Amino acid sequence: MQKKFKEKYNESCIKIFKLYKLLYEDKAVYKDVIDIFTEDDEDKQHVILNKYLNTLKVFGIKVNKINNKFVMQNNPFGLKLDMNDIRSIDIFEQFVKILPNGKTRKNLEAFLKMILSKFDENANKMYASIKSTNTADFSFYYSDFREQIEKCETFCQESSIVDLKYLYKGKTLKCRCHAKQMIYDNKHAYIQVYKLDNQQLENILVSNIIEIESIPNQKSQMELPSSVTYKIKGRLASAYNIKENEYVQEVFSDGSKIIVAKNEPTDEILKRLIRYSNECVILAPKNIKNSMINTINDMLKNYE
Amino acid sequence: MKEFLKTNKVTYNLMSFTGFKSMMLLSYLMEAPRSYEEIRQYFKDNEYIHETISIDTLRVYINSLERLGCTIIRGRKAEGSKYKLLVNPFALHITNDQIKSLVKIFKSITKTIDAEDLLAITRFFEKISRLITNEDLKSALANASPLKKVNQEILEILINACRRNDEITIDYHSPSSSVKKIDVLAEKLLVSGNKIYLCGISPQYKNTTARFLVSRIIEKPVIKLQKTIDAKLEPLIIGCEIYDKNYPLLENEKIISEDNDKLTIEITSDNKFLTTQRILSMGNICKVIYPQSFKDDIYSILKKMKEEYLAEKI
Repeated sequence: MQKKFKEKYNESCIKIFKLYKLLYEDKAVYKDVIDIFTEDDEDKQHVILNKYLNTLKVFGIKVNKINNKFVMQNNPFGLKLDMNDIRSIDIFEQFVKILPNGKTRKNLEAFLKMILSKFDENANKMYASIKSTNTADFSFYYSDFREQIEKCETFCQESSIVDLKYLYKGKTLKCRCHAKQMIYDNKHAYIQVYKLDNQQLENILVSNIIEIESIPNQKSQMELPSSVTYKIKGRLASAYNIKENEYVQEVFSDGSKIIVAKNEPTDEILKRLIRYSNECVILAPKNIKNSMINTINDMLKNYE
Repeated sequence: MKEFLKTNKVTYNLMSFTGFKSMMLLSYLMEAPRSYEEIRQYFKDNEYIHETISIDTLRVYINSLERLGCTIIRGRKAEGSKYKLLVNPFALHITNDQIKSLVKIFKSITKTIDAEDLLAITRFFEKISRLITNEDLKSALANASPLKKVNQEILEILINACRRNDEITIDYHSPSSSVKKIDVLAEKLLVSGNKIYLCGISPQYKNTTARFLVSRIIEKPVIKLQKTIDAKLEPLIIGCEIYDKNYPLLENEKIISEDNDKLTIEITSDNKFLTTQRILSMGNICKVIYPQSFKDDIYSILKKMKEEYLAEKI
């Protein structure tokens, strides 16, 4: 339904902001600009346009006419950017170039396009100076597996059910799973999947994938939230910082704590908790606890 | 006003005074919610306007801004009946998906970029955060950075100290004891587990590079004029067999031989604790082969871990 506006408004106010909007969106071609003043006398339109351009000038907005278009050189209503911000934007710009096609790249490109279009004269100068001294190099990222990553990105975007064949600890494993999201870390790309057989989240290194195929007409099933309960003690308990996906269930008088971690991929949480050595014990669920015990026993066998 | 316009070569007749005032109003409301009295005073105090604004004229301006896509509400009387700009079509428009992608990418590069860039992006995110209203996304932006609990002034001092390899004294709030003064030869800042650490050589930590959580450094570090710490440290070389040839290795892990089913690697480390953690996280695909003392340590840790599970009555 169209918004109902209150009756009294001011024509000058509308005109100045219509002009500002065209400039802000970088769409201020002469024809569209002069259209703002169609209700004024035709022979006075140029004079009135100049009047409004002068208003912007008095307000501190610099406008140049380049060919047939007016271009705003600074934006008092925008974000005030400093050299640190420009450097940050540049880092993201360097990174997006090597990112495989997908949702993340598309979103990041849209963000950068929007923010670059809002640069004022000062920001443009800083941006130009940073470009000439740019040393960021992310070219080592993902370049070997671009095709697989793009395929996985597509499955995640479509929330597909996939059949996956991949290498794990030197063995080939197969599973049917729901493709959830891509995870990028320092140099590696992973696909996060929800395994339908054991109802667990797992991050699988893209370079370890042998085959991944989407199963048509399969709808994703209801996914059970997973949680792991573990106990920490000693120095670890006193220094431990609770993570975003965790909460403390109980604190004991000796300082030890029971912590519940939610929706952390199984392989990741096992790798994380084993690092805490004998200051951490998994309490539940039983299958994850048994996985940890089996891993410890297998590691001990390496030395016996 | 006329004087100003004259000096700027624009005459009163050649500008829209109403247009100018409406731009001032929007700009003022963008800073914070304002009461009618505040707006009136703002116009009166303006060096070029010197006029107040009537409540009727203000309403007309607000109606006009609403026609252009702004949403302006008037707050409760108890809070000063302030006009609040809820939607502003002229502000930067960042979508939720864009924020999520920014956070995702930032998290993936935190270990690669240096501390200076990390600080720059953290401050950039703080700026963006002021432009969005969704509290979950604000929190995602704040939590994305390893610097979330870090005093940025202290970090800036540490960045410079590492760059110059300064010897510094830090006031460190250790989790196991109270605040203590520690001398460190500052070497680098390192991100691990979404936290930032100062790494360096300290007489209090023998034969290893010490790591200090920057968020636990509670005062500005003092830079010493003369260096007293011996910078020489023998690196720890650990030989391991890896039974998964596709396991992603780190930069300090070098393959020295390769068989059909295993790799033999050498880990060069300056921190025994971190290397122990790394070896444990690899699970049963990794076996330490030398030095014997480190191999014995790992075996002993594993036995203790097993005992903990037995004590928990499996």
